[in-house]
Amino acid sequence: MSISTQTSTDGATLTIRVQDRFDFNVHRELRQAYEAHGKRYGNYVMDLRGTTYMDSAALGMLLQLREHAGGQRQAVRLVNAQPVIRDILAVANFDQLFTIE
Amino acid sequence: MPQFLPLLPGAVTVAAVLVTLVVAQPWMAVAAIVLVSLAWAWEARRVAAQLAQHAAAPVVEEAFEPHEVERIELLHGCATHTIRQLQVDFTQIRELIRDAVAELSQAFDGFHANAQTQKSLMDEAVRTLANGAPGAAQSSDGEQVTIGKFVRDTSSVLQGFVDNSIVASKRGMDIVNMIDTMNTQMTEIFELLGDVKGIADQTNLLALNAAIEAARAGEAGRGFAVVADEVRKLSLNSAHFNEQIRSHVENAQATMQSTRKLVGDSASMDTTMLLTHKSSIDGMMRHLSSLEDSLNSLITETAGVTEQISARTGAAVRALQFEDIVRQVAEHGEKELGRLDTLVETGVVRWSRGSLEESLAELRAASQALREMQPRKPAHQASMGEGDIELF
Repeated sequence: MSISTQTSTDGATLTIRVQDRFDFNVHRELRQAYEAHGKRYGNYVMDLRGTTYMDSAALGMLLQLREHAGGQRQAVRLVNAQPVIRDILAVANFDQLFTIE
Repeated sequence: MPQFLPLLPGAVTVAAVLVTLVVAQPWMAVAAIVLVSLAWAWEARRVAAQLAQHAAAPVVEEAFEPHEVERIELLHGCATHTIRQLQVDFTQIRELIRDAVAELSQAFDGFHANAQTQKSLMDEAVRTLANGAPGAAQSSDGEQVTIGKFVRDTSSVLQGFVDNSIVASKRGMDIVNMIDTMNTQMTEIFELLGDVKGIADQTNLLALNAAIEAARAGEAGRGFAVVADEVRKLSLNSAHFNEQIRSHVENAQATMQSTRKLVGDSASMDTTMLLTHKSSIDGMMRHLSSLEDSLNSLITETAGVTEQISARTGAAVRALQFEDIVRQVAEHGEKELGRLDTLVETGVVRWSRGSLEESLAELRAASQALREMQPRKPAHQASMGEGDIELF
């Protein structure tokens, strides 16, 4: 399982971790994870600590998650990204679409 | 000491000529000449004073020893020769300086004009870099193409490309989502088809039971047996269609899986390459940008230097006006030499011809005139306007 999830104690925030490669192969799993959380709160955290690679499909999936979460910049937070992942996010101008921490 | 005094003008002359030859500075020569003139003038006055003393004696002719006469004649010869030589030198100095200054002026004027041309070329270069060359190709928005604009455009085109590929990836993932939804719906169709198959099997079983019951009824059930058989055929047909539909839906599902994979592949662009390209193009852009900056500052700097050259050339041209002053000094020196020449003539030549009284009278008058003459100010510092060039 390269995807693992954790719901905060108040149930408001869903944290999704992607281990190793974040690409097309995790799509189904990721989609199931965030659709199961529902749209009630729209608070999502993508923990990218263990992510070593992201392709454009992953960027597309993040955009899908953002859309799912309501389309606001604050709806999805991308945290703990490695430098190489940060570079990819910077090239994609994702700092304007997501909260990157 | 007194016996060395007559030698003084000669020594000064020799020293002056030497200094002139060695140092070769126009104003040094002039100064030397003035000094020599003054030395000779002093000597002439000394001789005149001697003559005046002798004139007081009743018999002048006898007052001089023969060697004294020879000495005065030798001095006269030297003085006349030196005066002629000095006059020639003065003339030559004046002409040399006049010619050299004329040539220098011309050269500096040309220099000045060249600097002006260079400056306007530099200004043009700065304008061209900032606004693009006049008449150069214009971009579609009417703005002139410059390095800066090119850099900005390329950056935004690149960013647009990146944005587009991410949007395309997102759409691809949306399509994948839809395919997944359709796949779920297909699975539901399979369940329904399973239900339909169950109905067909049951119908088949019922028809079989009906046929058995019809056979037991004998002749009366024959007609019913035919109906039961038809129903059984229908149920078999139904099962067959059911199988066909399942097979088609299975094919469709397989096709959708292929499509899903294709769309997924096209949405999965390698970002490593994108990063590499983006950073190399960014680097190129930064390089171009800094190139333009340094080119701009270089041109501006060069334009400043050209301006300085222009200003300094102007100062040099102004400084060349020293020729006027040197000419005046030289003319004055020549006049002094003429006066000295006349004095020597009066004091020595007329005296040797015997008209001592007349000679003495003229010498006294000349001496008086010299005394009364305002001592000329030495040609000192002459201001050339801006720059204040010190000539003496």
